[in-house]
Amino acid sequence: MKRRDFNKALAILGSTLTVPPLLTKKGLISPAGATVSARAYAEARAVVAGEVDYAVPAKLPTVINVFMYGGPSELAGNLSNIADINANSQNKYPADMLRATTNNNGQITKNNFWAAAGGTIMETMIAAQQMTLYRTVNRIVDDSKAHRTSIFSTQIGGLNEEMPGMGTTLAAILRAKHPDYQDVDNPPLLPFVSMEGETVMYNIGDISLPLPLRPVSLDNNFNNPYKRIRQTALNTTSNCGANLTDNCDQLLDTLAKNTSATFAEKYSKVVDAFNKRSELDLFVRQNLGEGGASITARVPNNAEFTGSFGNNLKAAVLLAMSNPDTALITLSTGGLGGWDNHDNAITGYAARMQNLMSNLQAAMNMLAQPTNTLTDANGNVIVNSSPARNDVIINCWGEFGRNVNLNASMGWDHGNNMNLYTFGGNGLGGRQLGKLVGKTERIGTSGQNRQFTSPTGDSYQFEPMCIASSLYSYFGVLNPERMSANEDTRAPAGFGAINEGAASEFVP
Amino acid sequence: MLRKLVGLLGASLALLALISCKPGSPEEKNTYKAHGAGAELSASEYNNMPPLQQYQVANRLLSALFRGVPAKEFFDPNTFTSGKEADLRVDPDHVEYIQQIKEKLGSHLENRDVIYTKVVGDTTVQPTIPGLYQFSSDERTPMELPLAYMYELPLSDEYFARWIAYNLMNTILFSPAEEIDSAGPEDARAVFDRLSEGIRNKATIRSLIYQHEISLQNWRRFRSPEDNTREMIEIYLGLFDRDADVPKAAKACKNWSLTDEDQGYLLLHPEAANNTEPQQILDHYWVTTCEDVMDTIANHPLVIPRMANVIVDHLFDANYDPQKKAKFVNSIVGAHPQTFSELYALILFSKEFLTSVERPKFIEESLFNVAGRVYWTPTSTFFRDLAGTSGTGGNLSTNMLVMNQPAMSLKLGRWASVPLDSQGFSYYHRALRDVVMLRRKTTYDNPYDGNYMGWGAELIGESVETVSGDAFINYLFISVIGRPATDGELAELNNIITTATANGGTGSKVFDPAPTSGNGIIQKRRDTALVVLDYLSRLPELYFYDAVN
Repeated sequence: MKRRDFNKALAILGSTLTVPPLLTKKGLISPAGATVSARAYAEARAVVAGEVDYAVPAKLPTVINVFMYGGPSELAGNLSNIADINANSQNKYPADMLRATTNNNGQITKNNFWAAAGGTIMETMIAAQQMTLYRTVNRIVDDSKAHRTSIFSTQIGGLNEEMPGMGTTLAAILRAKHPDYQDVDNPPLLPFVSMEGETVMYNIGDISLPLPLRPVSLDNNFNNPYKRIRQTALNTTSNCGANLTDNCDQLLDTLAKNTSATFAEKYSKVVDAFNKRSELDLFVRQNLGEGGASITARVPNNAEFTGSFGNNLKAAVLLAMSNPDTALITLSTGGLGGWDNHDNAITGYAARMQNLMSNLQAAMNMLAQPTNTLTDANGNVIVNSSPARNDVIINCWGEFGRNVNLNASMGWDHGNNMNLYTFGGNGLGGRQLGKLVGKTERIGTSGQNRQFTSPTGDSYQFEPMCIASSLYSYFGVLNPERMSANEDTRAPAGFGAINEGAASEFVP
Repeated sequence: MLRKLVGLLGASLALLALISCKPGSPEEKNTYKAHGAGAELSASEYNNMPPLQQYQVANRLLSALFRGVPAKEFFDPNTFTSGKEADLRVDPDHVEYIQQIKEKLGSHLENRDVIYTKVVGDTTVQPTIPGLYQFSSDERTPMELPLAYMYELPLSDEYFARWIAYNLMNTILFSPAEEIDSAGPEDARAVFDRLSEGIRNKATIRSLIYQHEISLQNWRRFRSPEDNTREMIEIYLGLFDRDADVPKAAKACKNWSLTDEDQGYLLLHPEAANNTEPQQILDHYWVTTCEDVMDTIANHPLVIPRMANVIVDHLFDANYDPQKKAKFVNSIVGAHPQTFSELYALILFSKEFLTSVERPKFIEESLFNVAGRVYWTPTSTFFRDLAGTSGTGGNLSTNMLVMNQPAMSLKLGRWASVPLDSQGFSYYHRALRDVVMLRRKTTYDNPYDGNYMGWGAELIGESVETVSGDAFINYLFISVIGRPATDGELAELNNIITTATANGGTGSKVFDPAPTSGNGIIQKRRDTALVVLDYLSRLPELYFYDAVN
């Protein structure tokens, strides 16, 4: 089947237009929007059913995608070639990066991690089977070193920029295949969330999702911009109408919604935002507790998050624990600075990686125990405790890796091979943690800038686009390569999921 | 050397070919014109539009320029009495409105320094002059000042140059990348000053690109020879598949480097360490030094089409129909603009932009447009709150950062589509609703109440003070969104106003049904305006450019 036809079927299944009962019951769109026939919907289902092999998983996970914009160096998790790198680099690495931790406070850990760049934490987390590190995420099909191109391919899981982002594709798959996403009376609550504003992961492409499945964004303080502050003479308690039973403010909302319905498609994102506003206002107040203080109160004592990125991650984990319906949360490493380390790279990079890993360790600690309840000044419970979760996966990666040569500005320029740091979810079938996968070697001419690592001939490796395919597989897709197949002549078979069974190099 | 000469000759011929096609600059005879898809909206086309459409077009143009014209000024104010669209008449002073704006943007401003002093104050004279606006700190001022200064400037060449510079700095083309460690507000100031001065002085696009390429600010953004040359090729030529050129271009720039933070992120390029081995890049250009690379890029034939593409993306939206966009860009490039003023003018005054493009508005485009249309006045801290940082006490209701639309900050510039994620948009909506549309001056009859920002008597008094209820609602609709209310909207808004009762329907009427005192009448008119404006703030069309037809 041609990709275009497959997409069309997926789009119909995901479409707002296919689920009038769901949306009209919730009062979210007018029935006038329902124009796709039941037959077209049935045909689309058949198409997707024939193309996507799906098995409802025992548990639907929550996935937190932490994207490291700028292109992170792999060295925090891979100093296995550092002696060769240093011998050929235009500028030399600090001496302690060439020594083992057992030798006069060197930086190379037992498994060749960079100790001060989160390496010591990685050793601990892999040994505790909280984490797996893949060292060979490597582009072969399209070795782009441009930020934009690489961000797109990585976040949509394919080479065609017109494709929907991985979050949108996942939503459409679930809408088509998973019973929880077809229950018109009880749709999942906030299944797709961004904590970084707009992101390519939720690019729409040719898929139009029903409102409950469209992404919403929250910030790390659970601030509540959804609440309107300033009031007119019609304050929130004013009622209107012949019987004085209608809240005046809601009448204004309804009037605006009805007026906009004619142009709902054109204004779709704003219409969505307005339609979601009151729901989000309520959700933030009732499920998350409004404002940063409420977050702090709910986080267990031994989960120590630090810095701005720590606040972002803490909020994402708290959201995941408070709302099991949430399938995907996208997050950036904003607050750590970017990873585009073209100059003076070593010190800043190491500190950022250390911060990243210590916060990820805090996240794993937090997921392992119930959250605190949130109470008001009188001891009344505002938000209940949430149970521990062993079905939350955190993936952490960027758009590409970097060269390993230290350039004239003592930085690393754009490269290719990179790491995937993946955490948690050991309660999910097929999940394999506690591993260190992939072997590398240095490539490039000595004394020149373009030197990089590459997987050795006998090493397992995969393309960055496979991370999206793994996301689909977590949620039950058995042939995730189908989602990117026939999108680009360079990869007609598409990109498969990561093989979590690949050989581990980890030395306990 | 021979190969280098041949390469340079090729480049020179290409440039010569471009220059020889130049039909003349707008400053000379205003003869440059686009034909076809990018053709200007002609005076006759504009004048043949119904008055309301003229108003829509005028405000679309002004909105793009972060300005707005009130309905009471654009139309003969007496034509609001009936509340009917058919009775609207354009004020005789504004029958050539689009052309008038164009002329203003080309007119020289004599007193820019006086206005600057008005904005920031002057403590070096006696008595000292207090500035109109407060800024976060000296360090942050460069981020907050441009919009404040533009707000006070009249439309003029000075205004246009600053507006263009601000726009360019929100694109990938000239973003100072204030968000990254090695750049800061002072870099934003330097880029803004260089661009705005250059544009005002009619510097060519190519010369401004070259100046920027070799500037400290550009190297603080792209910090190594490989990074910088890759980005220059991508940004200014739109070539994203020239990876093989990068090591060669970087070799020509091998002696250019940035010091570390302790040394102040200084740009070093000792001549003694200049590269001496010619490198061939971009197929047939030979370069030896970094200046050669940057000169080659700045004078490359792809530069002007690339500039037009990026600017059109931002003004038309990245999702604009690619085929229509290609035709439009070709048409604009065919007019051979040499300066940014010419390029922007071609796009802004095109029929396509003024009547057809549909897209969401950036916050500056909607906020200042509505502000202008309702005679709104900012407080002294408004621009600090708008362009400050959320971590330094910025007012979260108006801060562009929380709307995901930070200015002059993102390393790769703003996306060419307005971010409309639910949270960012909620802040955007609240900025318009809470800070502009529902913010009235405390003293109704004093339009220049200096203590509080907001709108006042100019909006709801004077010529519209005594018009009927429906006509007043229609007047407000036209003022803010450029159309009268529908019958359904009129009916429901009247229903709300006449029946609203406090305390869940158990209290007294919110609106006095028949006020008799002067204050009572004024209060009802003011509260009616607030309800209508609140409603209008909830309409998606407020945040969009719609086609004019």
